Amino acid sequence: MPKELVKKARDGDIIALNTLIDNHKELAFSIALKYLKNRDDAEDVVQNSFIIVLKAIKNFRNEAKFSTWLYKIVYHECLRELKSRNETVGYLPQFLRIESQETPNEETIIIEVLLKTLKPVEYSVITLFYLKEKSIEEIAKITSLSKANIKVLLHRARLKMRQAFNEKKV
Amino acid sequence: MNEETIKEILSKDLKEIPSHDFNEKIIQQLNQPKKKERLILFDQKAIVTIFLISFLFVSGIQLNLFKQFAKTNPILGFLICMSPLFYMVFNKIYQSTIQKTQNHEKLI
Repeated sequence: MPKELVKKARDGDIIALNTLIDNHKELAFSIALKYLKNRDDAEDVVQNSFIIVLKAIKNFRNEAKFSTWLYKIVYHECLRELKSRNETVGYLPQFLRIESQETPNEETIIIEVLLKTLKPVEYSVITLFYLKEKSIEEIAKITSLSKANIKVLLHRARLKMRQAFNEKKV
Repeated sequence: MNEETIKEILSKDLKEIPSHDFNEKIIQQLNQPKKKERLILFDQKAIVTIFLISFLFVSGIQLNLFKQFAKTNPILGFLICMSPLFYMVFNKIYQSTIQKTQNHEKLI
């Protein structure tokens, strides 16, 4: 199925292109938002990344490779955007609240509390691992970090989430 | 907190893209016509290939004919090394000729 989807998208099938975009846009946007803390900037980065990847879709045989490259571009575009703003990831305020248009309900607040302790890179690693089921090797490719580094980030992210979860329970 | 809970929390935290025409914008950008390609007589690959062939050919002949290093060899070598520049000049001449022809056709 994923192979077919990429093949159809390559042939210019609008439905396939839409499905490919829909499959990845939310996670790509969430990662970009975690880094850039601004909805408009995050949307621009994700949109540009999709355009770059879809223009080169003929080079991909399956969706796994396609998505790995897409997230790699999103990740590096975010870093580039931060660099152009003269910000570095390490100096980003960790507890900055992301702008939201709607009033969040209780569940959303709990989830935000659990996830706000995660640094953008930890969030990227853990979401790619759990939601897109990317392997450590693939995440290393996306982030250009070493496999050992990814394992550490993954472990740290899980630990932080567990701690926040337990504190919330108590 | 097990792996499933982590997965659930992460999936619930996914943010929706605010603009409704997000997909359309991307597809529109993809469908935009490509920039007009520049007309060239020799592309980079052809220039390198011709350069290598002429280099091997000339140096082969030189070595076979004279068996020793002649005084003219450095000049010849220099000219061979310059050959890619000649092709670039040919490209420029070709492009300007095409441009002139197109402009002339438009005027007619």
